[in-house]
Amino acid sequence: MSHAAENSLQTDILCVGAGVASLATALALLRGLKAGGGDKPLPRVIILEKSRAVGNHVLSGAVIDPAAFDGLLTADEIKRLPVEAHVGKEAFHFLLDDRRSIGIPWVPPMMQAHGYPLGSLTKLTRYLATLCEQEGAEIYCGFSGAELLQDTHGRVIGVRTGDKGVDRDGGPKSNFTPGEEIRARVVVLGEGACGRLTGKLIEKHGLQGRRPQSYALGLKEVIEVPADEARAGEIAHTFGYPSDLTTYGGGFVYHISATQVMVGYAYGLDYSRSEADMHRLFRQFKAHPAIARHLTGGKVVAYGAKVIPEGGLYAVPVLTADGALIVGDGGGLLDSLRIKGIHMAMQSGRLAGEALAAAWLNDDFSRQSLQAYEDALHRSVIWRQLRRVKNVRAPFSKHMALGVMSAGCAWMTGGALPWWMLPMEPDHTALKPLRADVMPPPPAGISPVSPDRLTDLFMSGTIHDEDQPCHLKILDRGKCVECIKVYGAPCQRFCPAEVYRLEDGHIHIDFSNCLHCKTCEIKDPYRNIEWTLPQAGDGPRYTRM
Amino acid sequence: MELRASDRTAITMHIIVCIKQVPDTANVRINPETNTLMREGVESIVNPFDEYALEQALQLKDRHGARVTALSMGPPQAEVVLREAMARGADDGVLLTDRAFAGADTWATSYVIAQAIKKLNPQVDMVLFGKQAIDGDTAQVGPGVSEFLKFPLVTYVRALTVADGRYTAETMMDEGIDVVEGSLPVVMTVVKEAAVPRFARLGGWMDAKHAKIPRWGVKELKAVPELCGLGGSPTKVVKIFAPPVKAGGIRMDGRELPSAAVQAVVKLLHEKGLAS
Amino acid sequence: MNEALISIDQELCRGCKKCVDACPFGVLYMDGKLVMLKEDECRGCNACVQTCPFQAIVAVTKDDIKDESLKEYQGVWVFAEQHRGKVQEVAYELLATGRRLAGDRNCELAAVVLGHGISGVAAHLIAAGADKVYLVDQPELAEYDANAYTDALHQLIAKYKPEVVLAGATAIGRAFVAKVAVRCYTGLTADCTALSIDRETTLLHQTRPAFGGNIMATIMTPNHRPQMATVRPHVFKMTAPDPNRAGKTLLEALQLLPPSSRIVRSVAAASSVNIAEADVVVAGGRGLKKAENLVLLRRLADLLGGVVAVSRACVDAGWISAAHQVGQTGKTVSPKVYLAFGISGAIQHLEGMRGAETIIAVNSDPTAPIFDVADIGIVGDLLVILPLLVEAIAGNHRSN
Repeated sequence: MSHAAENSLQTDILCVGAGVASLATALALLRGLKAGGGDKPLPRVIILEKSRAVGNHVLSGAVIDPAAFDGLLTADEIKRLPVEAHVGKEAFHFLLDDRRSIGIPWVPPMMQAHGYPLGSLTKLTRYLATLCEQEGAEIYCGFSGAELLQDTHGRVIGVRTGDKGVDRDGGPKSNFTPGEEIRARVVVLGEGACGRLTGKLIEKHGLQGRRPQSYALGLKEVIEVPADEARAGEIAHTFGYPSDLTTYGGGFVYHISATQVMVGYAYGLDYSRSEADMHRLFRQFKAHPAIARHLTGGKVVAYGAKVIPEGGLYAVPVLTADGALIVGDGGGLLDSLRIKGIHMAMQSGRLAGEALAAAWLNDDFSRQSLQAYEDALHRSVIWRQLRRVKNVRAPFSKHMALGVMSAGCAWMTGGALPWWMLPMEPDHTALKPLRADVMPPPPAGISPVSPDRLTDLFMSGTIHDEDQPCHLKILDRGKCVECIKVYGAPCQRFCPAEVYRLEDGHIHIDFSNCLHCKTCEIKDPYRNIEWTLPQAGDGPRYTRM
Repeated sequence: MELRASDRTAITMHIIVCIKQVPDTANVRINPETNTLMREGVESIVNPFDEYALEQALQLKDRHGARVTALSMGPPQAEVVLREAMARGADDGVLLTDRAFAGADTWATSYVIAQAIKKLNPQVDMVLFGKQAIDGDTAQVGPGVSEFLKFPLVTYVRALTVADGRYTAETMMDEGIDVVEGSLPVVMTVVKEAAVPRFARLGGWMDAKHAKIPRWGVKELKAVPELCGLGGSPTKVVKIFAPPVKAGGIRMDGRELPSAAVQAVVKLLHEKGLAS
Repeated sequence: MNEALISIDQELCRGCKKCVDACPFGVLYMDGKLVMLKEDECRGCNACVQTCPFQAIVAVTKDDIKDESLKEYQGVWVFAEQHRGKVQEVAYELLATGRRLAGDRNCELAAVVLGHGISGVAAHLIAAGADKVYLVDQPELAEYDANAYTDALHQLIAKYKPEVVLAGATAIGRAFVAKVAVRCYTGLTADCTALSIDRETTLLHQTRPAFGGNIMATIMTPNHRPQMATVRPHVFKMTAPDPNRAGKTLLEALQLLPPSSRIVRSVAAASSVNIAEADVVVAGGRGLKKAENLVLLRRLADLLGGVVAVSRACVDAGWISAAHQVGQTGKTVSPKVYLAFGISGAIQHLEGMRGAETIIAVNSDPTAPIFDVADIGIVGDLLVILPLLVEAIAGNHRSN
């Protein structure tokens, strides 16, 4: 049904982003229609993915809440998930300082994950993609959603993909290929946190939640260790050092197999210390004895970074617009206490798929019809989980003790208390001016298990065609001058990828190092950086994150 | 695939482009202890040189009208490189796949590919290869196929024009460019200095998705199994091992006494046959 | 003359022609209703034997006869590539290696030269170690043409049966020698970095890089002859020529078809840089501090006969074009000598020059990772050291 003429291509359902949320949408839609019987032909479902291959821009821990698969996968498919271990031994530590820690003898109930599948989200995403393609969905990698197409009434009618083959001055190269328009009856936005089209949709249609979204930056490595069968399935979560008492930070170590350990650290981006260096914090975390002992004899084989939407219920936008739906992290659907979003992404996808199946059968893609998705979501277990922890995240910015109290309260009352919205400042306003005397010394020596940032970056596989316009736009260079004076150019430190460098009083940008995490856009105190889409196919190449 | 009006009257040439799916070799490593390849995390890509060959074929198609057939020998998952070729504009794709083909060296590979080309169409005008595959790095299959087909061979082509059954090719030789002329049919290998490959359009992918890609094995190719795969390969890999690791050498302080350091460098350069 | 490797029973033959189609070398043909064999050209691949539905074709070679026929191949040959009457250096390098292999195999070393008006080269080849020179001096070979060269070399191989054939992995060598190998139905290993005769099996061990140099492989051709290998220039060393060496020159007159293509014009290589092929690379990084300092690199490169390269920082700064960039997103180089000035050696850069034989690094930062891979690492100011180095080398040149 495509029409490869100059103007536009056509499909029935268009998903942007081949993450687990979009894939779950496609799976639920197609399987639901097939199971429902009936003679109506199946819709054409197309999923666009900006990275070169499915999973290349996907990153997570991950301990997967098996509720993710409810109503989506068969028991057999769950058995064949690409996971090598399930959570066995769980530990929970409070790290006091760089050497000491307190083991919490009792894992808080909300953190318990015994028996949960433990593995790589990249691999899970690829597995789901295979299932989707078997059902007939079409996944096209190397195509970014650059622009929403809207009709005169503001209804979303499709997407325009990004141009390719543009040189660094914005001119056409010999293989210049303009973006193509693809029209659809509904566009499902599964772009993940800080999605470009998602942001534009929310702004244009006034879909904002009660509070702006707030984020944490998660850095993660895959470490190959000498084989130890006994440890597969062992996990540990930590809080405390290297975060201070007013920053929501924590780390994890997961033995996902006999030979691979996932280690990661997430740092709330509403932190105030200007000198905080994300990669340095990550190395400090790994150097702590409670963590280091999980990594002995190991070697980093992969690295990556991504932001996590932690704003919770109050930051969730309206998820339905005329002609469009938002699923997954892009909609802020993440449990900010358990830091779990995979099951929410997949279940939101399932509900979206079911609503779309009904819409297809009724030939009705009006806003009212699409609303069924959001209504179902509000009645779902996910929503209940979000409501329960709606006020947990905010007080952590004031002090950890308040946060812990709020968490306990929320858990015991199912989120009923406190019933009002606790305030939370936007991430970019939290930074305090730099005090020159507090720059910490560099952490312990470079080693195979603690590489420097550039070496780590190499292991993210990130690569960009260097002859293209810089996709990181500094809106006002004048603000940089002030930022350097007041905050000491924190972009150098909050970027996990060494993109920004202060040299001779000027900020140099190595855009081809970018990991597409968008921390810079979130944390820049002047909101002076706009992250735009580089040429599709570029960016990290995560294969086992 | 809709043809433009000019194509319908002008289709005269049939160009075969041979494409290989290869691991992204930048990331392939060998485990120095077990001497086995470590493929974890290594993705499969279209051999970069083959993209240039395909682009040459597509440019000829744009200019003169031609039928471009993409051909690949590999396991079933290699089919995706053919679809990518079709998404960029190739008219058909054929996958040569059979367990019997596995482990082939360049001789056995050339044999199988030549069998396929003989089957495809007696009127093949041009067979294009990338200069070499980035996993094997031998550059031998293009010449091998020219041998089995008994077509002339022109190598290291960076620019190509065709008119009236004759080609003119700029070839990159060691001492400069040789401009070579001859008649079709011909086998050519293409270098990276040739035209920049085009991107596949989304519309191209959407059309290629539903195209049928036939799979030909020993039977369909009327290939003799003893000449295929590992068994048909005159060369045998005896062992693979990690290249010697470069370790650091001597360290000198060139701050206090730079001249001593300079002398050491000059001496080393002498030993290498330079700087004398 | 080849022994017949297959035998056709005309009584059983039904003229179905399946064998003719199956033969990869086209040595079977129909004469009326009968299948005929060009005996001299049969390689014994047995495709026809397998294909015939009536078992009319039988393999004559049994294993021991096959082994015997392998033993008929003796001698080490070097294809001596020449351009306009000048033998390429790689030929001399291969003759030095060939001398060693011939010694190990207790056989003769011969050189093969193809061309027109090239009789003068034989003496040089003998001085370089050849016991014999096979010279084909014919107009069809005046210029390189893959078909003509393949035809000529194959005819010689079929006639004289060398056990080993070596050629330079040059633009010409890599192309036509691959055709010869297929025509002979034998194995060819390209770009060898090491060659030796295995004591036990007496086979040629051929070692070469694969997967872009991330892996080394050792390859043999156990059951086919000749064992063929190409070697890149400057991998092996030449030895000093001995003008007193004696050797024979055989002028071969071959029946050759005319070339299939013709060279209409040749353009000498422009100054367009291909740093990937250079033997000596003089590279600079951020430590150069400004574009003007690139001229120091150029000076050194000129003295050493090398090329100038840079790390990405210099390209980003706009000092020089990306054609000179070494690294993960630039070019990969594997020169004999890599001199790195003011390059820290981040892994993104190392990826592009790891294959260098010798690395010399100058950097003011003693913790720079480049020192982990440098054969000589100098901690110091490149703006001091580089001019001193240039002066020392220029001084040597002057005094020579």
